[in-house]
Amino acid sequence: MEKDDSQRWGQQLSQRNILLRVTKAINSNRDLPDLLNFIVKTGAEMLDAEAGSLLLREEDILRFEVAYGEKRGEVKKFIVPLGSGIAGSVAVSGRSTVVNEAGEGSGIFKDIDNKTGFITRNLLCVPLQVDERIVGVLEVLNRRNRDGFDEEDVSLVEGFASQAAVAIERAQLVERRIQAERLEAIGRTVAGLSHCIKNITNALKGGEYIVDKGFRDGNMEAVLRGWRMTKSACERIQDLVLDMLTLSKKREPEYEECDPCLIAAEVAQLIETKARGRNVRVLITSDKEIGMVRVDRKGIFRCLMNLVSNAIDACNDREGIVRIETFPVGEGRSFGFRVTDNGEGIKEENRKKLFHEFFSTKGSKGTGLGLSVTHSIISEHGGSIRCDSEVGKGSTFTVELPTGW
Amino acid sequence: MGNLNGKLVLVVDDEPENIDYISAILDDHHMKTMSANDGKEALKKVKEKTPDIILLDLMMPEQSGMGFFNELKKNEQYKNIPVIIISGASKVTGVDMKALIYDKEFSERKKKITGIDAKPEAYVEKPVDPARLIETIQRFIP
Repeated sequence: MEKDDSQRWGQQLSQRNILLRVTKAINSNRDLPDLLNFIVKTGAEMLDAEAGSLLLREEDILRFEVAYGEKRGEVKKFIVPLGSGIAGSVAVSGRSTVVNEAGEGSGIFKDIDNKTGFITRNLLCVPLQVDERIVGVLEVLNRRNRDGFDEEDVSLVEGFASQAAVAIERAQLVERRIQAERLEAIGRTVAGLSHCIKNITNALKGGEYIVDKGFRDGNMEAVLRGWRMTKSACERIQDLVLDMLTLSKKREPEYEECDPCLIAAEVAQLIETKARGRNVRVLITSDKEIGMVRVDRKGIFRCLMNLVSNAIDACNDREGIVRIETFPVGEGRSFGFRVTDNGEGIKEENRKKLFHEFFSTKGSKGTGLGLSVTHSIISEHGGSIRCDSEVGKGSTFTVELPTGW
Repeated sequence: MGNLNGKLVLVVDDEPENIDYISAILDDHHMKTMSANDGKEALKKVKEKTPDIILLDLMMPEQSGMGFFNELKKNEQYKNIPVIIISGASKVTGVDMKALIYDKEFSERKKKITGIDAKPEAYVEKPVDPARLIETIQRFIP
């Protein structure tokens, strides 16, 4: 039965519109599985077909990635060797194929029909091709309301498939890059962690050895020294685990009402012994105008402790002075901490890497996690941290945080 | 195997605890320890009194362990002192220890670029195993 011209024109127009819409949709950024589902669904709907499937090429096989239609759940796991069946042949020849009378000898991969119970009446298979590379094939099965697929169907799906192939290749590239980056990040973490753990284990073994030797030599002073070493190594493990946990997950700060000047005072008090041992004076300036704020008290305490402890380390046995300041910012919506030292300063090249995980200039003492953790906690609060430094003169770290009200 | 009795060992490490540990091991084998916290101090100590062997940590602030090593090997008077590297994960130190000690091609490249034709005698990984440390020192002590 012939269609009249106006009907045919109307159909062509709507198909062109579909193609335009689809091209736009394909080119929006989506991940690979999402994109493949969209392509197969659109391919089938475009031609008013019952089902569709998409196979991607992997070396010398085609793998069913997604299927559309009633039996989609069952068809996904198949693998087709290149050159085998219709899909396998299209993937080799790069030429679209239409089979309108599916029967013995039609080339349809009967295995799949048999396994899924789906009956293929007719089929259109087009290559997904970018330049000379065939990335896969798209199959559209069982056209509704018609005996089979015609020339126009083929050209419509081919137009769509060439757009789809480009999008698939791009999404595959993105996926591979993400995978590579993830592996690299894991590798870096493992290397950094194992380095920290080796250093701590060294201190543990050292403590154990000195305690043993102290007992052997009847030297109680050595026993005590070794025991202190062991205990401090245990503390380092605890800190390392805490830092790793903080970095490993995005957590919500546990907000509570507190006085930032009091946090600063507590930090100064707790760090007193370390400072005195290094001949460093810690001075506090607090602006009481800030009043009470809502922050994760433990988290902010840890940040400030890290910054002050770093500042003392930076003084490196010169007449060190470390200042801790708390100050209001803007019209009471934010407040800040400033930690200033007159230590050795941070070289430009190191300043860029300050907040990178496992970056440390402290030799075996540093885990390279302190500032990463600090940065991460401050970011969770929606705050900011800045470092100004001059080699030979000292450094200033400025933290600004919302008051939380 | 060298006789360890009374030998003078320079231990270069930025961490006093590590020095404490290693000097306890050395003391148990009747060796004497002097120590330095960084490369600069190490060079000063070598000039004051020449050690029989040097145990060197690579991860140190100030002058890196490798910097000190290169300085030492450029000096006619000290270049024959054996050096054993003591280090944690070699990748993080920025020096490929295995290549440095065992890879001929690496040595030739290094010689071309730095003019230094020397490599450490051996390396001992952290955590330090006392028996392995002593066995390694014994192989290189004069």
